[in-house]
Amino acid sequence: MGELEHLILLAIAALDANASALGIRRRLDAEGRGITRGALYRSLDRLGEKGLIVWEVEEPAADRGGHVRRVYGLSPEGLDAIRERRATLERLWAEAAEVVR
Amino acid sequence: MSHRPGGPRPPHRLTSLLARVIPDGAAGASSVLGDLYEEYLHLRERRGRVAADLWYAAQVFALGLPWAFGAVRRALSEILGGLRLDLRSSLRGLRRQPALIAVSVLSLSLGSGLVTAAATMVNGAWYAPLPWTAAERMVDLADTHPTEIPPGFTPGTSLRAFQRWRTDLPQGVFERLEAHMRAWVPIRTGEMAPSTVRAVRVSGGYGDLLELEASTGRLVSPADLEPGADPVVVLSDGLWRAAFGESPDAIGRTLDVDGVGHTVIGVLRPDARTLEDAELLLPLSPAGPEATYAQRGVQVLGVLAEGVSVEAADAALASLASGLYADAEELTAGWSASATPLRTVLARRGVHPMGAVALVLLCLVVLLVAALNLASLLLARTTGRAREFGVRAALGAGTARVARASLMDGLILAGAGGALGLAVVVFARDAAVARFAAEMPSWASFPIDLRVLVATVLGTTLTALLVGLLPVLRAVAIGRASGIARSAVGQSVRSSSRGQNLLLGGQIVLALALVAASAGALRTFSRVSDFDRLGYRWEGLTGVVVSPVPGEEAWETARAAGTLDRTAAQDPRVQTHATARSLRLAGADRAGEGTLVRIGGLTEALSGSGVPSASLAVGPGYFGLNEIPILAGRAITEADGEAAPPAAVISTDAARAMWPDRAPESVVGELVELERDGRRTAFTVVGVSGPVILDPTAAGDRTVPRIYPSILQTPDVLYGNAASGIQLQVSTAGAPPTLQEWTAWVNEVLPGAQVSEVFEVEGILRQWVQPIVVIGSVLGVLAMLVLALVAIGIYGTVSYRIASTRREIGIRLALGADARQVVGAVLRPIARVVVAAVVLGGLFALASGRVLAAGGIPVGPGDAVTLALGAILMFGAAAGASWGPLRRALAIDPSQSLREE
Repeated sequence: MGELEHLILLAIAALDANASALGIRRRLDAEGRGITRGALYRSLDRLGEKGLIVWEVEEPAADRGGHVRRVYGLSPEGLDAIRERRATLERLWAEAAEVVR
Repeated sequence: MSHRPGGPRPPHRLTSLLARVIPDGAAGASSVLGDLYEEYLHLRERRGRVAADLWYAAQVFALGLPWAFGAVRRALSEILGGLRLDLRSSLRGLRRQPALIAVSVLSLSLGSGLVTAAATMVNGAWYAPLPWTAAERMVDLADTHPTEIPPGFTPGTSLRAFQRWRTDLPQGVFERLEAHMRAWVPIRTGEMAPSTVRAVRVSGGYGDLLELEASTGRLVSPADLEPGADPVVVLSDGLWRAAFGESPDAIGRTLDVDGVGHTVIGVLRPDARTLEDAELLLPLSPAGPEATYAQRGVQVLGVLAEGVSVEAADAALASLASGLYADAEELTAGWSASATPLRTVLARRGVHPMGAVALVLLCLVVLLVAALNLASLLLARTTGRAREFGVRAALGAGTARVARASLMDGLILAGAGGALGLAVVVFARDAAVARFAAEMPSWASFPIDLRVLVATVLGTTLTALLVGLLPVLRAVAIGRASGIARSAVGQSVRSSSRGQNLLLGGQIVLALALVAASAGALRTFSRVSDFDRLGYRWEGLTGVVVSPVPGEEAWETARAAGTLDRTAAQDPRVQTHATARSLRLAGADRAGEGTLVRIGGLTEALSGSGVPSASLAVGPGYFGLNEIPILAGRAITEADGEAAPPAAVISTDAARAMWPDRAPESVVGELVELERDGRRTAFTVVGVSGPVILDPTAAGDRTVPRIYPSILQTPDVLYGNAASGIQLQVSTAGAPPTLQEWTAWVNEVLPGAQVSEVFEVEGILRQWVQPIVVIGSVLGVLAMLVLALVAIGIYGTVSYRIASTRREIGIRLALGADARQVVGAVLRPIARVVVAAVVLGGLFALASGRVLAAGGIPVGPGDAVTLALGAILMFGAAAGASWGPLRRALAIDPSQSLREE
């Protein structure tokens, strides 16, 4: 899992039940991690293939031109993956704390 | 569920374009489009429609392109993966049948190699670039006339015209004009026996134009052409080796050319590319004051100035030449000149278009037979793979997949055969070019270029498709029947037999047509090479043509012609001698084109088929020299001089044409009147001679009806304006006279008259039949190859048939049938196919023989004997091919066969 995929998983978790593609992009933008539309969709496809995310499809809406919206959530494997990443980061931070302080 | 909004929408085409390429992943096509729509609406509210549409388009391309590339990549890799699978499976299957591979690849490589070789030859002769830097701008300049130039004959022009063109053509049309003139000249040196060699007399810049270089010494320069300059000669590398033993001291030595000592000034490099492949280069002396425009034979080569088109140069030349020739007394009306690209002129000289087409067609027939052969073998293999195709179809493979799997065998074998054929031609090309270098012009090259490669690849691909088609149809049928069921397989074996019968029949039909054509060609070849049937002497006769000096009434051609051969007779080597001069005859319906003929006492001139096609005024001794028999009356003799009543001999076929109701021998004593420009002379028929065949290749031994008036009594007016030359012929003991000697004899009687190159009757006849000899040999070789291929095809079919009926044979034997019955049962259907194909092939051979003959290819009609021979060969091949497999089948143990069942 790359840095970008990690951030997207975190954004999905942070947005909870409102994690649409647009929402994820805006959330990352707000954190100063701008991401192109293409990169976001390709990352979502990859995360889907790895089984780290799940999604629900909302009803087609007029304000979306009659198109549906997918709302993403973390699969149990996705949750495990970000937890493991967090543990790794915390271990490294603990060891690096003296130097970085 | 679709929900159609009524509000503003982004460009529909862009939306549907993007929808097509979004993959079926986590992003989801509808969701992606929805996201874009939301942002599009926001943007449109804030910045307006145009900005929003532009933004939308940018997003569609930015998102769509990577997805589209991804889709293409996935599709390609899927197809390639499938192909790899098919390829592997085909190769695995084929590896188990090495004999099939060997036979197929070899036979296809043969066909493909022949097509490549034919394409290389045609390409080399017609299209390959010429070796000179300015080749693209080189043109051939020659005289033209709407009626007086025989088809296929290149008259060149006169030296006088060449000199006028050089000075009078507008500036800026041609960069330069150079001339050369072919000649055969006798040479003598101390180091080699006297011989006659091909020479070319050249203008001063000829060597420079054709980028010739001397390995030692120098080339002919303008100074060598000046009047009074010492006679000089440049040798070819070959002649230098033969005549001077490669001596570096050859320069400065003297070579006797045509009886005159010439100083050797240079030796051409071995790779020199002259147009005429001459052994000698001599200076072309300028035209003297007596030269006329009618004395042709000079070839003029021009280089167009940069940016000038051939059409423009042609127009300029035609305008100048028409003006010059209109004032020339010696020429009839209508003469002009034209410029033709050199490449076109050389292409016409190289390969006759019909010959080239025939060659390529014949090679294609061989390729086709090889392809049918392979198709037959593959059909058997496809039937053997029935179970595999059935399983594939049952597992959901579509028709296309099954077809592709089956086509792969054909593609692999055709590809391998094509590559092998091409490789053989590539490797054999240099050897072939070296072998035939002496027969080919030095400027010709035979590159295996893009054109040849396209022809080969196209030929091989079409073959692969043809080869693959029947087996593919069979495979698809098997697939559709989901042939796991045994009955379906059995059915497919039966249909496969029908397909094989068709292929076998097709091969036999083609083979028979080719065998008939080549037998016909060989028969024609042996007929045309038999010169004894021509009705005149053809061995040991040489001669020259003396050009008349025009406009000189005092020349008294008749008397001169009568005495011309007597001067030749003074030479002790000359045994017999004679003169002759052509008269052009014409029917009353074409009065302006020649001399009219009238039967004495009738007022109407003859017309149509009653007019003898030629007339030859002859001197005493003509019939004796040429050994033309006199069947009634007497020949032309010394007595038929100016003072005697005009006399003529007439050939039997001319007598028949003029007096259809009488026996030819009975016309002696009749009168024949010849008339031109209102002047008539009546000749008494004093003798009737045997008919003569002039063209040894003419169909049906067509004779040329002739009237032979005495040359001493034929007034000049009868010859028309363009007076024809006098042929002077002799037979000699030992070496024939040199041109120098001929010229001396002629000039003793006719000072200033020009003498053509020396001709030999036998040489002319041999040159005439040469194309038929070549066609006959090529056809013979191709027929042998095709017969071998068809024999292989029959062998394959019969083997397969017997192998697929092994079980049936075993059961029949077990049930008590004797071997003869079994053999009959197996061979009967094959024999039926062979008989039907032989009958069809016979008809096809007859038809194709007629078509080829009508197209000018003298293959001779396919007759009963040839066809019978071809049929026997086919039956022989079938019987020979059946023998082995049948013997193996009869050795089957019936009990084992029943156990298998």
